[in-house]
Amino acid sequence: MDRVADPEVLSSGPVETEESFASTDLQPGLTLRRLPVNRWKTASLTVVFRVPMRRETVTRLGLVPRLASRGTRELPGLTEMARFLDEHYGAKLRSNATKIGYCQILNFSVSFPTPSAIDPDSGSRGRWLVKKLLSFVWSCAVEPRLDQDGYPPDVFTHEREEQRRDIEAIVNSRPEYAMVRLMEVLSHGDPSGLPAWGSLSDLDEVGPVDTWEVWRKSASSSPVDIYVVGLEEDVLAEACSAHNWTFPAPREFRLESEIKRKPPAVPGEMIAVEDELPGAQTILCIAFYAGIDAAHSRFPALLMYNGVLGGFPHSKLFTEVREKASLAYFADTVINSWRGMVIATAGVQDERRKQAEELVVEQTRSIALGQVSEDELEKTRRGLLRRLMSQRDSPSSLIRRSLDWIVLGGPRTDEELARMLLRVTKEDVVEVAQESRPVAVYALRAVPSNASGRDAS
Amino acid sequence: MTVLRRFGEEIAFAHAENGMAVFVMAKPGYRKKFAQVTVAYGANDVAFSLPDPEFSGNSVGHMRRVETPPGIAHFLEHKMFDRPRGSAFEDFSGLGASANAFTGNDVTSYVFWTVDEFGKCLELLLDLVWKPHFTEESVRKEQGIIEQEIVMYEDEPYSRLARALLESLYRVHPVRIDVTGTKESIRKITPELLYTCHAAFYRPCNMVMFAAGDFKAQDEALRLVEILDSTAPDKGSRPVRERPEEPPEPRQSSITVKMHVSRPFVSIGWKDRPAGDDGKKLLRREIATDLLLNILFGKSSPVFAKLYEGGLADDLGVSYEAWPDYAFAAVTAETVEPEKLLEEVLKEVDVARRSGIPASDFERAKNAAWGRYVTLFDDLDLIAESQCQLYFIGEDVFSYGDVLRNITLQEVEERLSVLDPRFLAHVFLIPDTLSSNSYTREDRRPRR
Repeated sequence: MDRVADPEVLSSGPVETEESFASTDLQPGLTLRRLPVNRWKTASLTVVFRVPMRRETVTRLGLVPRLASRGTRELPGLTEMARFLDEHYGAKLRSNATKIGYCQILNFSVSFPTPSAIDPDSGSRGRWLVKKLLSFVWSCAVEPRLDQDGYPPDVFTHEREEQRRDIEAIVNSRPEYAMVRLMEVLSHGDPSGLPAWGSLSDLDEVGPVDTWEVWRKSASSSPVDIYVVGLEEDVLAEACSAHNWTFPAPREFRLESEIKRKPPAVPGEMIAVEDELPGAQTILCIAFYAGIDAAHSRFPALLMYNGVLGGFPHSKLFTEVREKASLAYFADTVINSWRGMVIATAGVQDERRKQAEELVVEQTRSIALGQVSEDELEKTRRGLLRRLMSQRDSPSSLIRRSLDWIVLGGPRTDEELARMLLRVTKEDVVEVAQESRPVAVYALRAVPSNASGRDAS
Repeated sequence: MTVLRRFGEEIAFAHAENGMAVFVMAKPGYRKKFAQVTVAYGANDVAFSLPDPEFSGNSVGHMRRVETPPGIAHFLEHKMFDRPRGSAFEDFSGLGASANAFTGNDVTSYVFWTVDEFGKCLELLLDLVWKPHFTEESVRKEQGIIEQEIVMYEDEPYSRLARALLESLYRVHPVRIDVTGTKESIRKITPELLYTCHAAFYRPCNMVMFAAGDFKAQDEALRLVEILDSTAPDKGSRPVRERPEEPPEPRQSSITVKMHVSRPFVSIGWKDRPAGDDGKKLLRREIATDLLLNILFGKSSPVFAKLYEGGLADDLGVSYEAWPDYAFAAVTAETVEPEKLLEEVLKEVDVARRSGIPASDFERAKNAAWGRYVTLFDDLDLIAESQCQLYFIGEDVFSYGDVLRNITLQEVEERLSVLDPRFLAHVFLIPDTLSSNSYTREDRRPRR
């Protein structure tokens, strides 16, 4: 049942919870968000920069997290950084570029065992650990190893090539590749529709000095959120007061970064695209446009529609496409809550892809015709409420939900969303189905390879 | 009732009268409640024997021997969700829960997650594992679904790589056979065969349950034992799991696989002597070998920096798989120069075998491993899976930590013997002619 995620936005609902992050403004645009409850053995410090997607910056900024893991001013090499992390109880550094709606999200996160999990009497040693790791993760973000006015050229060239290889490697996961291609088809060149790494063709144009310059300015003008999980308030307060929140350029936070942007225009007519790549299974993706985004008052009805259609094992796609027709091992749907779309995906035999496509579209028609039982509706509602509650056990889900809400809007609390879900009627779901229309069908067709096989010795 | 406690975690452990083991972990403040039932039955159990008069099959002495098509344990796992009136998936949905199942080489696990109705979900889970319902039609339909699962894995380079490595390392041991079986083997599966396998393995004495949530661990364990005592079938006896004698040398020294990927992949494996049924010995070996591999190839090792900065690999995956009847170590990477990477890895192994492991590297790796071990307790799924597997070798998730705490440099250095070139095999997965037969076609259709 595990499935690949839409690289842009997928969530069951951009909401905060009753245990939402307690926010403190450290500076304009620099917000500390601390989770006041702690039931975990893992603490984390996550620094998040939100930058609007722009063609001229996105590819350069996509490289920044890679470059951050190559060294800081104090720990200038791979081995020094890795040893530092090992020595701090196997702390893990994660830095990556992702995307929520129109925003490129640059994450720098360090996770480590809570001081009390290592030693209940850790006291000053625990405080020391938190200070060191806060300083470390901030340095990774804004104080990378530099060579005069930019990143060291050899390091930069290496990371740019690795980035190129990683982008090219998306083809190694066919469902992921299919989803990226579908988004490309739907975005028709709009930069806000680009993936988080930007554009492969732009990579040749970027260099160590201009990339640092773009990051220096973006970091200093973007909204920054520091998410903290698993630390006692006094320990965190001490670490924050001791920390110097310096930026690589004078801080010029601009509210412009917070202006919400619309997704690429929806195609007027349905687009059908087929790619052929050697492989065994054809991946079929169909985008249905509903025009209901996360901030829309009918978003809970879209969640219910998605659940009835393909979000659960009781959903129509699982029961009809997989269980009854035996067409696929996976057949499900996800929501893109920025574009207001539901996207269906299935892995099928190539010669049966048309049959699968028709069956998927038939399920949406059956919902539009009101063929939704009370049982389907209630199972979906309970499933959504369970997901909502279960996510409270996962700090990474809570961070993601908080960011979704900041960027996309929508119901702010679990309780609000839960109340809205409880009010969704069958008629609401049918109405969403009636208003939805397929806007793109993408098939990554499997064709026999010219040279597949194996040799042994 | 035994209560295990470490660093603020508590796990209660008890046995039901029918022999089924129950573990309950208290997770105060968690919303999610979770339960797992694991059966000591996996893809490796293609042949087994049982002293059971109701058994069909070829008679060998006092035992009845049964041979089954590869992939049947996984097929059975899929079909266990069928109920006389629909699917258990839907029943879990009706309770607001979600469910899943996993088949490995040695065990099969069934899980559910819920926030309420834990009791009803548990009842359903137990009903699912003990009351099979198979029909000719549902088995036929499942063949189509699993065929698509098989081809999905054929398109995943890491699955192909792992499969090829096991095929190269093992001559006769069934671990060399794919968990899902083949399109041909699953066509041989019938309802009768599924019932036979279920009757043989899905017995309380061959199963373990793990639950976690905001429970009082001891109270919940007692309650689960009561439920098991009142609902579970008789204890039965464990089947004899057949494992052929496996020679120590690999079957093939190398395999090259071609598929449509963007760059080559390499997997280097060393076949180890299995530890047998001595759980403590197996655990010590596993922990010492994991430490060794991390010291040699982890991100803080000199060789990693050399390979990374030289453009040979951006990550090195290391693993040591240890079961009573088979064990192997592996290093896996994506690389532009597979031959060169292989050479560098083997060179590093050679140096370490001659000069040993620096004490400072050992201490640092152990410190990091301890921190990572403690944080695993936030991952309920992982702790459940680990505990259920450790139970079958007589250990638990806390004894893992105890061993890690007192493992010595000498033990780690002794594990260098695993990385013996005589027991080495490697797999190169290389791109077929990329883009030679790929193209895009786009058209616009009228709205439907």
